[in-house]
Amino acid sequence: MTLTIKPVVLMGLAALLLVSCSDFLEEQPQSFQTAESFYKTAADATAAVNGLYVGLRDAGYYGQRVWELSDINADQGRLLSTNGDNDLRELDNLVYSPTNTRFLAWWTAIYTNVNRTNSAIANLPRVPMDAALKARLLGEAKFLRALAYFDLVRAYGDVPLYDQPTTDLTQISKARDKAETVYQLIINDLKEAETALPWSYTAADAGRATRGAAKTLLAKVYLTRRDWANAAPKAKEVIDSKTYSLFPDYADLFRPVNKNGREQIFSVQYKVNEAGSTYTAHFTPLYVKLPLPGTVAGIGTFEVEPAFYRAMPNNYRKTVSMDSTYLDYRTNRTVGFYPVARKYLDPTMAGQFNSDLNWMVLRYADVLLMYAEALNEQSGPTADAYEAINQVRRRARAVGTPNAQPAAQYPDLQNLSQTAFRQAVEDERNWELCFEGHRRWDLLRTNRFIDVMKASGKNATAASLLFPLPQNELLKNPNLTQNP
Amino acid sequence: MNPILYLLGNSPRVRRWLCGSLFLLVPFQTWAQASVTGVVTSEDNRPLPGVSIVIKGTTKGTTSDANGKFALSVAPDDVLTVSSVGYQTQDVTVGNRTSLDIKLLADSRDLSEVVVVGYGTQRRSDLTGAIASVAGKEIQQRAVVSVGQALQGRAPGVQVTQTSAAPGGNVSVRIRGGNSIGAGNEPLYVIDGFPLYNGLGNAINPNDVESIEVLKDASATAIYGSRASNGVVIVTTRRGKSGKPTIEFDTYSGSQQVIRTIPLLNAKQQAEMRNEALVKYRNQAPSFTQAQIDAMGEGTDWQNEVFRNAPIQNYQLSIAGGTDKVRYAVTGGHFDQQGIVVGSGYQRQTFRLNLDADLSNRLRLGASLTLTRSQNKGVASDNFQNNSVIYNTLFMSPLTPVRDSLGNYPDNVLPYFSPANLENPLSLALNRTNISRGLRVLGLVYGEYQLAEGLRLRISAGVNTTSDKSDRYVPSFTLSGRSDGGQAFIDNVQTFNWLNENTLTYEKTLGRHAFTGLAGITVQRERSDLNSLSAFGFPNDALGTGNVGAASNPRPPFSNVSEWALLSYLGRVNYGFANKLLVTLSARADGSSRFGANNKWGFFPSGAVAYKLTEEPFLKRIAFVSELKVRASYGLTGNAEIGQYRSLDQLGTVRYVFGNSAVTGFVPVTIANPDLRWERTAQFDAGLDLGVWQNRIQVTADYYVKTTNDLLQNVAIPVQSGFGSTLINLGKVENRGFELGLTSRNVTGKFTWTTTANIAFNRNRVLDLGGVTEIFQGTNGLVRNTPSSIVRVGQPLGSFYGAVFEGIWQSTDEIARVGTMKTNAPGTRRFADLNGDGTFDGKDYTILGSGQPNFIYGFSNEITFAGFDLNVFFQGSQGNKILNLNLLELERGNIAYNQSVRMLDRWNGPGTSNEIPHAGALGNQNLVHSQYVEDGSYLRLATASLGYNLPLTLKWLQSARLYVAGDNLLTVTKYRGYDPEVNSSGSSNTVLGIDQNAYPRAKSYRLGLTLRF
Repeated sequence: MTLTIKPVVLMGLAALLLVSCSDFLEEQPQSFQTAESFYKTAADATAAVNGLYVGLRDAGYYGQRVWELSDINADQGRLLSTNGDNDLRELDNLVYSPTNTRFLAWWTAIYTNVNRTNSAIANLPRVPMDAALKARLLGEAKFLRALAYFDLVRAYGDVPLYDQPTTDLTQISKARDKAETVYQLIINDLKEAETALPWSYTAADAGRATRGAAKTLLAKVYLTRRDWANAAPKAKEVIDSKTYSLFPDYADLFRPVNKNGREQIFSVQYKVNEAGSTYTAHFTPLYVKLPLPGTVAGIGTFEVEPAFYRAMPNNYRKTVSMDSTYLDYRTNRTVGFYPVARKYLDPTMAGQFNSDLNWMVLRYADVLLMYAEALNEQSGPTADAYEAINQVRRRARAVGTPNAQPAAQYPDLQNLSQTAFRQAVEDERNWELCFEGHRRWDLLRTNRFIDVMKASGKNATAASLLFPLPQNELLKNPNLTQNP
Repeated sequence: MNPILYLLGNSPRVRRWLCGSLFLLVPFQTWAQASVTGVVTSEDNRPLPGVSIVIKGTTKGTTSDANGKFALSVAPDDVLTVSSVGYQTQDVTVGNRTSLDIKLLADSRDLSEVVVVGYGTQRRSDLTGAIASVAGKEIQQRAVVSVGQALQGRAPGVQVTQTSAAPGGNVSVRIRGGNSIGAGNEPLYVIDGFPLYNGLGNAINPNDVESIEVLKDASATAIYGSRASNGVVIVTTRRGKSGKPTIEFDTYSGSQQVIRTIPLLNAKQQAEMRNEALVKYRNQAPSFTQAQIDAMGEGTDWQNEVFRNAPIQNYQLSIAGGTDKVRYAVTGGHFDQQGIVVGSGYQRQTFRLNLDADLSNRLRLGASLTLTRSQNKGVASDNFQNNSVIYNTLFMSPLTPVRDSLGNYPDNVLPYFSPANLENPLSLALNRTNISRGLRVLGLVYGEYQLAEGLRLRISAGVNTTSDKSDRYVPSFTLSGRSDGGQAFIDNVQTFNWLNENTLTYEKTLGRHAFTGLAGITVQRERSDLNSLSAFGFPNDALGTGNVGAASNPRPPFSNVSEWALLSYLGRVNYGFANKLLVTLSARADGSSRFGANNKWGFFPSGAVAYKLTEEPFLKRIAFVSELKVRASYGLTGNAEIGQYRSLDQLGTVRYVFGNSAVTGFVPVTIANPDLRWERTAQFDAGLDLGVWQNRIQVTADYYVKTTNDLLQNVAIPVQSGFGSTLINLGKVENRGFELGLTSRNVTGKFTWTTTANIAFNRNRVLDLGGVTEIFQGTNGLVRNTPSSIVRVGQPLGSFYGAVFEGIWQSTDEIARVGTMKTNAPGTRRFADLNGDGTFDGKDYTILGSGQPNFIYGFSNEITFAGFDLNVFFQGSQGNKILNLNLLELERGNIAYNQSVRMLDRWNGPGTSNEIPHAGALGNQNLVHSQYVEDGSYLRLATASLGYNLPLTLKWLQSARLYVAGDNLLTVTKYRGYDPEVNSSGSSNTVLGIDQNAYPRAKSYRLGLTLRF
């Protein structure tokens, strides 16, 4: 008889397994969270905002494209004739193909960040947490969203504007919005950020967006819009805050030990061995030995335009920025066929793509020069304008350091016409901020891009003022139109 | 049977009573017993040893000796059941005879043959679906490591491609073409009742296989529901049979070599080409003086250094037998294959136990247990990278010595664009550590209980658990390990998969109506854990992955847990009328955790009807037709191979730095899709089974049309949304085709000759991509994100996409006159301006052919005579194209790396070549173009073996067979690469037939021995 009972028992056991079948088929992920399970605590909110900074490191953004689209795509950098990178060569020659992967990379990296910031901005308000911290985190998100849109609108002109995160497929094919509309969002975000954000953080939070960063970016936005009346006072707010000052030694600016120091206002953060940066390898030419054991060389995606090297006034700053000779790793001999960038040479690097350098997005010298520019445009070269630019020039000759050079080496400016001062600011920015991703945008802002490029022998036209929208995106979204 | 017993009837109670009373009868019967002797032989009069001879209805019996002889005490009315593996079982009435000559007929596919179907078995003659069976004997002929490989060429409509020819390499199997673009395309494997999609790998030793059934049409597969779209492969392993234990030892040992090498330049030729390029085309000084060149000679032949004669060996011991109540089969195997590329090799140990026990005449319990341990020493190959051993073997300059003066392996000596970036292939193969070790336990227990006459309950529970660890170490003295001071990577993957299946089967015959019903509930769940470690910067290279704690730069660890669950209800009804008309209806409802919240359950019905025309009087009159059956089926199946958690809005973990310390962040990485569901395949099949001359010749033919809807696609969306793609159900693919299988016993008797052959034609076409007309696939890393393949509406999957080659530009005049490629120099390739807009550019790319064959086929011949057996098996593929990326790169005039000997015929002035560019051409020579889309058709002598059964008269040894065999001995093809059976893109269904650094295939010669005790 026992034999007839057993199957019934077994069937019962089998049925037990099936009792809670709705739970059985529900996925409970253990290695990632979903929006539903996230945004519950202050720690979640902080982690969500931490995530917004990571996209800045993308190779499509400040990781690499930033200097290619700005400095190679102008007159500071070039690539060697043997380099087979056709996309980069086109940028160098101001040939703009909609299929150029650099335009797609910039668009992709930035829009990814836009959606991430939108997601944080939409979800943070419902997190039960300390109101002050929440306001600050929202401020960080808004600063980053403003930065993203500013980098988009300068590059492409009119762009689709999203202020809500994508949660389904209904809004994915928006048409372009007017640049003016985009600028309104940028300005609103930065205005909110500049009140919500603190001037500084505790050491553990160094690297987050600050009130100074929001004000600096806002000043730059006003300047770009030729709104001198708002630009100058905004820059002055940064100066008057006494939060920032120039490193007396230009080289200190690039020393990893001085990351997030007195002059840096906003930087993309890296750390050797944890998340090392690749800037040293990119800015070190092929065959040029890196400060590493063995025979590891640079990859030379950026080569200095020889004309730029020749034009730069000889002062301490130039010796920090560039070198005319280098050590060939093959022969271990110092040779001088062409100038090489030195700014990003990190002696503490631990691997070819493992440097300790941050990428500086905003720094105080930039503020001083923007202030000088805005004042000059408003009312000609005032004393404040001279003081601002001359601070930068004095630092260029290392005043107050053992490397100090006599004033005659690089004299302070005085008695210039408005036009001459305008040119002086343009040049100063060119030299002070070289290879830092400013050149194209500076020249576009002052309507000088075409002239300067033509003077350097490049074929610039009105079509060079905006990048084409990526061909891929036009194919996927028929509502997008191409730039002329 | 005793008439009294007969009259008492068959009720269980009576039978139990009789069991007891039988003992009482025994003494009365003994006086009547007499001794009978006999000999068992085969059709060709060979004595058959080890044949089981049992008195029917008892446990009394014996087995035949080495000469096929036996002796047994019997009563005159006893019936002897004579059985042996591979032969038809026979009942012999003793009568008054004292000596018996029993002839056993070989177990060919006769009408009573039983085949394994989903959740049951069926007589072959009663099948309504398209099912191909492959016998274990055929599986075991080739020296292969996996059942997938063994299936190649054996069943119509089953395309098997080895995705890597490296030892232990995977295969990709397509049954009636690929259905899916974005989800899996491999069939579902069912191992002794345990369904497994991926990761079957090499777990099952082909030597353990009794038979393989390939379920192809919806009638056969729909019972597997959401996992059945790609077909189902049912693997049944050997189980014990009642009788004396049979001990079998099988071994082979052999040697493998590369099938062919690719002719490359030698040192002198490369130096001359380099000089020519520098002087003539670049206005630079030559690299070498004439005196240096004269002294060079051949230089290093890297293929000769990297490829080797590699041994292969296999040992297998099996013991099988049983009483009439308990049956067992135990096997152990050891397989050891070294690779033809130095540094590579694969080892596997397998253990298997199959047990069946009849606890009563109603209850049977059984178990299957497999333990597999494997160790794979790999070398990087099969994809584009400078660190692929194959790539570096082809491109390494012959000017580089094998070893430098210090005894190290030097890197390429001809740097051009950049520092020496080509690591010595011997360094890659020998200095690096790259070992995967795996352990798998696959076990299943079942109980079968007869609840009532014809009603059986079967409950089974099983686990499949795997533990895999891979260790990789790149030493600090190698080119790639140098900048980081050595790199160590460890991956650990553990999976635990459990299964419970509960089925009820009811069989009933009422007059001319026969029913079989099946109903079941099954549950399966899997959890998979991945842990990864990596660390850089080792003080020395002594320990590597053995002690990552010694590294100065530990990388962030990584872990991942992934789970899925499947809950299913299934049912099937088979109805037969007068053994003429057969109807099958089946259905399965699958609830899968992988589907979106709005679509958790899928329903997959099918129906089929078959008609046995042979049973009709008008056909019965035609004597030579022994079997004629027509079949038709239609049904829906699904494909749920989309991975886990794909319907959810996932947040990914990222790391950033604040205050010079790491912090964690979360970012959205996917858009939720609560509507996500399975791909839906509707399949129609019409088939015909024909047997003539007592089934001496059997033919099976099938025509099918398969349409797959709701393709799971990772559709590219505008990135302004913040996402590059999202997974949705969109689009349609069709496969239609014709299959033919044939078995013919050409000659029987002392001399036997049997032929089996199959051929399959499949036409694959994309019908709809949901709005877009094409999707580009497979960037090969050569140029500007050039895709190598395209998915285009109206075209087959796996179509190549590129430019049309038109020859070589002969002069600046020609370039100016034609004007389509103005920036090119003479001596470079000319491509067609297809759209006629006056400029050659990306808009002139077109489809250059498809990686899918027009037809695939296999045929084998087996001949036995006087103890000898000869087996010859051919297999082939016709009409498929291969994109030969190796050659494309070897013929572009690169002067930093080595090139093909065809560069000797290079362009060197007008009229010198219309095929090969000038030295140092490079430039746009590297785009995908028609010159390197080659015919990949081949016919291969896959296996040939010749065996001899030693004539033995030993008591302890029943039989001994000695054989010589060869694999891949002959390949007829026009293809210029290593081998036409190539698929560097793994199991992708959209990028097919790419040859890029593929591990070359080997041919092998083996000597084998099979002993039976």
